[in-house]
Amino acid sequence: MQIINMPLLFEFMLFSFVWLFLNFGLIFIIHLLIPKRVLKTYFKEPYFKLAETTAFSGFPFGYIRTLMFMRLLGFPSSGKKRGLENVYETAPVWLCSLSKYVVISFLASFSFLLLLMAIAGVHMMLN
Amino acid sequence: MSQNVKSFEYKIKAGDTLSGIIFKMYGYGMNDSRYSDKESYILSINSHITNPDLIRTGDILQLNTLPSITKNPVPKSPSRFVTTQVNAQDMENFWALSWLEHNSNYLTIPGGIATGASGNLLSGSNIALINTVSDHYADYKSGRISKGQYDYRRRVSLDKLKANIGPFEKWLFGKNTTHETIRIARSGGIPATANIARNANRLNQLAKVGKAGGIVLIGVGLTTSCMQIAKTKNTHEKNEIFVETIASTAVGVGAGAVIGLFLVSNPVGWGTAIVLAVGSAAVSYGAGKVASYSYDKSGSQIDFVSGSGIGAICK
Repeated sequence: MQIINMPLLFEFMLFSFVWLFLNFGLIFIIHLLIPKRVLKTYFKEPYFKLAETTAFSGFPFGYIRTLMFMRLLGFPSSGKKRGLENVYETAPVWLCSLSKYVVISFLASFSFLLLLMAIAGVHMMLN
Repeated sequence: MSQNVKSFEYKIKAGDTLSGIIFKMYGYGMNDSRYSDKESYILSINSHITNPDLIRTGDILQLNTLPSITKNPVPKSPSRFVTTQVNAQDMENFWALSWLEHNSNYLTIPGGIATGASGNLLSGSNIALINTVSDHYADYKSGRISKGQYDYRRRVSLDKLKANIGPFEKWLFGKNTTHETIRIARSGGIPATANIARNANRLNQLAKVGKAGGIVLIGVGLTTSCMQIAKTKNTHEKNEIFVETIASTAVGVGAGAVIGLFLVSNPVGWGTAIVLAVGSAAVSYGAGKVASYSYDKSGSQIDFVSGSGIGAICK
């Protein structure tokens, strides 16, 4: 008996890919919208190691920096270890809200895609 | 009926399918009752083929005449076969090259990102740290700070540099440590800070090469995928390559993004960073393979290559 319906699984995969790429697009836009004063004030020692500030600058690693600040803006308590709980105060409220929803949406789409990949991977190994 | 069992090798050409090869070599069509036995036999002696619907151009297929099927012997023309005698070493080299041809994008794209990262890592503030040693030395010589203060400040700057470059230290400075390399020149005839200036300049050059090399390697990786699509005649196989490339890239980028989200609340050291990077590369590779398999098994008729315009570019 065919337990896994591969055509349906592939359709879900396509859906999650489109969803993931939409999130990438939003992250790309937010990368341009992060206020310079946020980076000037917080993207430096002692909050970040010098290695981090140099590695996460420029293309393509600058986007990792954007993801870090999106989490700090959307979920202020995530900056507790680095002493960055107040970053949201230097950014507009709409950017904090947008960052929060994009982070949630990105994690949901990526987790969903990985789940589908895992199911297909099991099918591949069994066959 | 002949009991002679002969083996030979067949080089898979563009547009070949396993069913086509079986028909061409043995005369068994898919409706023939002997077809499935023959297919199973070929798969059993070609362990590198895990999916009969997915054979790759240029790969070597071991074919064998079975005593029970010698009624339809192998066609007489020898031109279809590469050779019956292949040196084992040549065979290994061939497989290595064949694997590289199909998987080079998995090496060049992450390699390009890593090279670009090393370019980032060497630049800007790290080079500034080296130059501060010169500044401290100038302060010491002009009497603004004592010898003890100079030694301490030099050590602090170099400790920071050493922590920043992490495992790159050996690659950059060979058998010497950062502290042994970035030091005042004791021999006469050259300025005292010449060593420091030379190393700062060297790192600057390496950073530029790293950044440019990263972009070139990523370009090579993408071009390789494009060439694979171009030389594959079968539309289904073109789409499999496309799906594999897009899926592995998307999952690799996604994994990088997840690492970013993780790092903000969990600062990590070099060891963990390398483990995370290798792990995400492995997940990205696996995702490509699984996506390609899923596309094949789903029976999807969607032509991504033509629809996205990639077919027009990679031809």
